[in-house]
Amino acid sequence: MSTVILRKILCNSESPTPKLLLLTDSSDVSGRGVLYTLLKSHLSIGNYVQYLTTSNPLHVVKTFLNDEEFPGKIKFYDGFSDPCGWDSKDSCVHLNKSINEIFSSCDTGQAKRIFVIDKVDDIVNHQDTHNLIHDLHRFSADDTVEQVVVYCGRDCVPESFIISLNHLSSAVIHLYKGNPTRCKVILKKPSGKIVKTYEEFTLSPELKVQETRAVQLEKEPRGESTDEDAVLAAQTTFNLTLTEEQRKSKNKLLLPHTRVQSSGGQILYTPDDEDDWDEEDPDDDLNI
Amino acid sequence: MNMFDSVTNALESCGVCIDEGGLLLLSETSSTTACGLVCHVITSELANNHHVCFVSMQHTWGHYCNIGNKLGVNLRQLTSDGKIQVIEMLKLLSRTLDEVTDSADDPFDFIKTPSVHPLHKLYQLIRRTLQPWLDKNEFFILVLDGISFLLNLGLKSADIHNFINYCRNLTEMGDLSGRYAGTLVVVTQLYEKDDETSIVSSKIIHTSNTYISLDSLKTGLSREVHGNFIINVLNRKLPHICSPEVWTFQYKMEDKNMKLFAPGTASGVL
Amino acid sequence: MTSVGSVSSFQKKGKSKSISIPGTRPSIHNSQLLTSTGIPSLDYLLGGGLPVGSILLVEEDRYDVYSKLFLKYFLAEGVMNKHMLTVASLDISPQSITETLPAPVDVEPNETSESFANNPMTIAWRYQNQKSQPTSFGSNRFSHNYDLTKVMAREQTFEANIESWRINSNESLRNSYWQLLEAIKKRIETGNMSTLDGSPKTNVLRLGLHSIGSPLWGLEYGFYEKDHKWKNLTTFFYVLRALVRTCYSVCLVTVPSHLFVDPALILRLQSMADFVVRLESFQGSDKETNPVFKDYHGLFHVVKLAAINSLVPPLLDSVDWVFKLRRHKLTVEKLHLPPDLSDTVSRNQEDPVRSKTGPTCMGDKLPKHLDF
Repeated sequence: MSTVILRKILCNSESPTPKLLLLTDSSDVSGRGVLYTLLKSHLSIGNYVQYLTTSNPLHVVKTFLNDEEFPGKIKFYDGFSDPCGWDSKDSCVHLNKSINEIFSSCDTGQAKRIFVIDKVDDIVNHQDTHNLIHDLHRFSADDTVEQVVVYCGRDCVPESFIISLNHLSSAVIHLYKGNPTRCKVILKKPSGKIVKTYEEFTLSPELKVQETRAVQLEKEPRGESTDEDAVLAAQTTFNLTLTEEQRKSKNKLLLPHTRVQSSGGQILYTPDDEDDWDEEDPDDDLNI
Repeated sequence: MNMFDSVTNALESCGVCIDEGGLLLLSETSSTTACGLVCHVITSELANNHHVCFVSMQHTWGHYCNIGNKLGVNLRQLTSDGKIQVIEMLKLLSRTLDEVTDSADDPFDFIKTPSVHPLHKLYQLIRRTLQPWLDKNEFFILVLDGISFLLNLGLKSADIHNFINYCRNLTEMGDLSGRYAGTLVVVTQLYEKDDETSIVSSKIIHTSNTYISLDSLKTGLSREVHGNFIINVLNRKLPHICSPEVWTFQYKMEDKNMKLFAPGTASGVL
Repeated sequence: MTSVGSVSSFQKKGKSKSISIPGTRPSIHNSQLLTSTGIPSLDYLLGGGLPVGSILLVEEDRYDVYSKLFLKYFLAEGVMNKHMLTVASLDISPQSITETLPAPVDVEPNETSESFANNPMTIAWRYQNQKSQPTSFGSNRFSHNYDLTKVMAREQTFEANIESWRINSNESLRNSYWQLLEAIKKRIETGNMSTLDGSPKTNVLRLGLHSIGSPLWGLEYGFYEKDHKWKNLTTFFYVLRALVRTCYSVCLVTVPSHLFVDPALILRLQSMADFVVRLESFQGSDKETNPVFKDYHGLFHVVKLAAINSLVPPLLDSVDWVFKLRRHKLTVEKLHLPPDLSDTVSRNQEDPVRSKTGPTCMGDKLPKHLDF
């Protein structure tokens, strides 16, 4: 059942839809593909997407979320081109405004609205985190809002901010480096049930999730590998590790000096001429 | 005019292309310097007949010119030809002490009078410098060398990141065909015990296409190996690829060359 | 702003500059103009001398005994070459530094221990041709000789162009850093030392700044680490770097880095200096009694040698350096372990200099991993 959590969230088959979804990545893994995957599935079922971009120019985002493909279903807010008003461009969003103000031009009549903040770490540069948290909370409590997607770089904001976002969210996806990409998914169901899984997945070039599977992890995957062996392995031209299959066949190999033993152990001894068989008790001089 | 053959080869083999727009991040540590690599990037772009706007925050421009001289590239000549535009922070900084400064023009005004957007004026200066090329739709590279030095002036990583976003914006202003106007090259300093520097770097990595880090060896100093040269490439045009591809080399600076080789194949080892 | 025909203090010594500045000489490795620190062995470490336009940062020993001597040598050399001098300190009065500069002497003060140097080696004959550090620079009288037991004559220091900076008590203490910067800037202007105007220079400005960042300067004390209250100090250094780079000057700054709590601060300062050395005195440390160090007074850590105008920094032939204060002079030397003359020749194999995790070639302590 756990294998489908990530897929369920990304394909919108989780019901009810998590109100506030937090997606985090770090400098060595990018969550952009996952974000687009999620939004594509929203758009394909007819949801209305409000997209605030702060770290990429509009035309770049539009190459992946084409508004011609989904006419009238997606509205962009450009928070990248001129977030502080230095270039005095009119059409741009100033990021010192609250989230409410930024999205205020949104037509409230539409049902099933999705709000996307890509990325929240840029907004933190411009406004007070406390206000931001409040705004996000108020926003996600709105009944007419289907989902608020908050995309954030974990290593760009104070840890306390991530913790508070975690606290607010009803679903969290933390991405970790790996091939396939690993993630930790936490889903807080309205019933109070908490589902927490570690999963692996890949994305197809058409941005479909595939090959999802749950993995067992003893400890939380770290952003960077601190393992000394990994450091060594990365720097040498030798292959220092074995795959499971290689290990099995290695263990199966019969080396020339190993003799197959059928049953138990035996001592075989052939006495030769020089052996001095002393019948006397060697210990008879002892006072026992 | 390609400076270091082995760097050219390595970048080519990893599919790094500097003149395709986007952001190239180079990081150095307290014991490694990206100076040679910066020179390499500048000269190879000039050879491709692109313009260069060089914002130098840690060295003087003369420093690079002298290195260029050694390697047979006359950067001073190219500067006076207008192929390179230089903004020298050290010069600008030394002027902030003048009693009669034109505070309207001084990008370091914020040292004396705090401002909400301290780097606004520096951005405007860069923009003015780039404007002729932007107008003519000529490709350029904008190099911000030593961005972490701005932290010393009491700026926050948020200010720096905001500034870099604006600079990225300038390079994104291509024509409607989706071509980039230029490439942004940023050089950061990473000090292990200085969190602020690592926040600055990791924020930039999030938007970079290529990240080359010059790391010092963990086990100490070596005469034959000056550090690790790690190339991370993440194609932002293919978002379904989540993790960057990583190549690791080691490098040695020589008097007139930067030599790259596979880990463990330094001349002193073999 | 866009520098056409940019002028920097690092200039190629060409025909245009026919007037030679006293106390300088061109580097044999690159086109830099070098000045002496007053200590030949230190000049040697820096690749021949301190290039014009650069900053040497000396991290003070715990009690500021030896670092002050380095500063005095540096200033004395300036006096001898009739350089312009600016001395600043808040901890001690600048006069007390300039009044006690070491006296110049014609011949190198001969120490008895050195008279052995010319005897042919009979036992360790293989080392006969091993070059000891060049102590003098031949006929090129680059730096002068000084005798620490004597004080430079009053008329000599009186004649010298020395400015002693003191804080203007009328202004608030808060901006003492900025006041010093303004004073230096003024000094550069009155001496016409700036390279920005392109006029030929006939002199060099020497800045000797003592104990910058000590509690008397700073706002960085009495706050929590996370507050990063050292903005003023880092700004000072950045602007200082800018000033020194854009004029004919050399700067020696001593900094009490052992007082800094946040390791990030000294890293920042190091990044803005060109050459960084740290003095680790044996005074009051357990190394004082370590027989390995009995000939020396402290470890001399070479933290940073910048590559200026070139791709490679000056190359050192050793990593372990020490300083030694003899009666008449201060020298920096390679660390040589003394011969063990005791009956039981069992030297403690532990390398006292390197940290314990570093690579050692002794089987039992293999490094965890090697980079190659």
